[in-house]
Amino acid sequence: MIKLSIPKDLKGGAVQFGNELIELSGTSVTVRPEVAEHLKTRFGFTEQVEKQETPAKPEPKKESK
Amino acid sequence: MAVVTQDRAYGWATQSDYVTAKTPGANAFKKLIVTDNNFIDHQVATQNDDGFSHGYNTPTDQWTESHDNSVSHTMPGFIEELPKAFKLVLGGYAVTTPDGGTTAKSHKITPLSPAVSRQLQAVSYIEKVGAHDIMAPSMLGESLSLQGNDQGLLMCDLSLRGSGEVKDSGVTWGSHVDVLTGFHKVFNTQMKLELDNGSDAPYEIGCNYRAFNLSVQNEFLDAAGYKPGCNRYQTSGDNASGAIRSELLLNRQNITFNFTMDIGSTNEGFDELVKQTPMKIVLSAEGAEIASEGIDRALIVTMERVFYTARQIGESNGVVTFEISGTVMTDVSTGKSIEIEVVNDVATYATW
Repeated sequence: MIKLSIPKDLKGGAVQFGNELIELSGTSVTVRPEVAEHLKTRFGFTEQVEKQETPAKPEPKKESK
Repeated sequence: MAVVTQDRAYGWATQSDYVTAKTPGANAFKKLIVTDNNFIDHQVATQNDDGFSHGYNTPTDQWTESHDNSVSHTMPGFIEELPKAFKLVLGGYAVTTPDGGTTAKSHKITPLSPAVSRQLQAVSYIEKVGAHDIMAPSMLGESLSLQGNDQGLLMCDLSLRGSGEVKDSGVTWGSHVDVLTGFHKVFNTQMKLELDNGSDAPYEIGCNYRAFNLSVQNEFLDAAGYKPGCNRYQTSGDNASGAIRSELLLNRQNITFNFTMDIGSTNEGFDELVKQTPMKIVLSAEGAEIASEGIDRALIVTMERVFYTARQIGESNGVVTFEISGTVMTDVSTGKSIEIEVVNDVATYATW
């Protein structure tokens, strides 16, 4: 599945392919790859790149006096 | 008492998938207004034992193998109803709110991308006259022809093809079929025609415009839709009742157009078509404003890349005309072929 940003002019709307309805509420939508490709070329959706989460640094051990 | 054609009634409702018929319920169906008296054509494919070694010269038995059905109607050009016909035939749909609009919506209908799906949206179709009260589930848009002639309303011929299933509707027509009103008509006198070769300013045909016809013809994989492994029969679980389809996939689409115009002193746009210059053609009509939002109701047909196939000289009310015919193609650089945009105050056509 691929996460896409919804273009401004389509926010709150919907797209449909035959019986398959995709509601465009919010700012992004997650769709299957072939749908994503079509939405990108036909409607100007852009793919959202997931940010790599950096592992939290372990807290420094308190040195006992 | 005899039943007269004036007592006929039709309706339809979208399905969630190809095989699941719409369940009757309060306003679950929308009434379908048409100009004709047509009813569903149900065809049964049968075989018999003619020539079997039973010792007789005539067959002794017949059995049912499968069912097929189709229906054709002519819908008057109401701007609130035309998107339904186009959406059933083309399959791709997007709805947005135009800038400055609230109740105004822009509905854009395009051909289904074959990379995404080959299954058009299905509707459960109902019809009634006298004791005949049936539902044909799983019907798809097979062909459409939108025409504008003289001063008349636009007319849209729509043909649907089903799975072969036909059953009692189970519909209470008084409460299950929503009667829509307040339609806005689109007349041929509202139409504007523009030809664009992509380099010069678009040619506006203006007063020389006379008539148009836009046709979509779908070719389905209709034989492949009977899937033996699915065990779908006219009567569920009864193989003797005959198979019905489990899917009906779109194979090819043929989109054609023709325009009739007066022969004038200049016909630059059409001359370019004759030279096979790929042209973008925009056919549009504007109507009344929507709820004081400064947005007009509109029908805009954009054909991205058309080629000429025929020209005929004719006559209309004593004026010499010529008719250009062509085929709508796909522009491979954009993937676009035809787009039907309708602006009106219907919230959505995703389902109805």
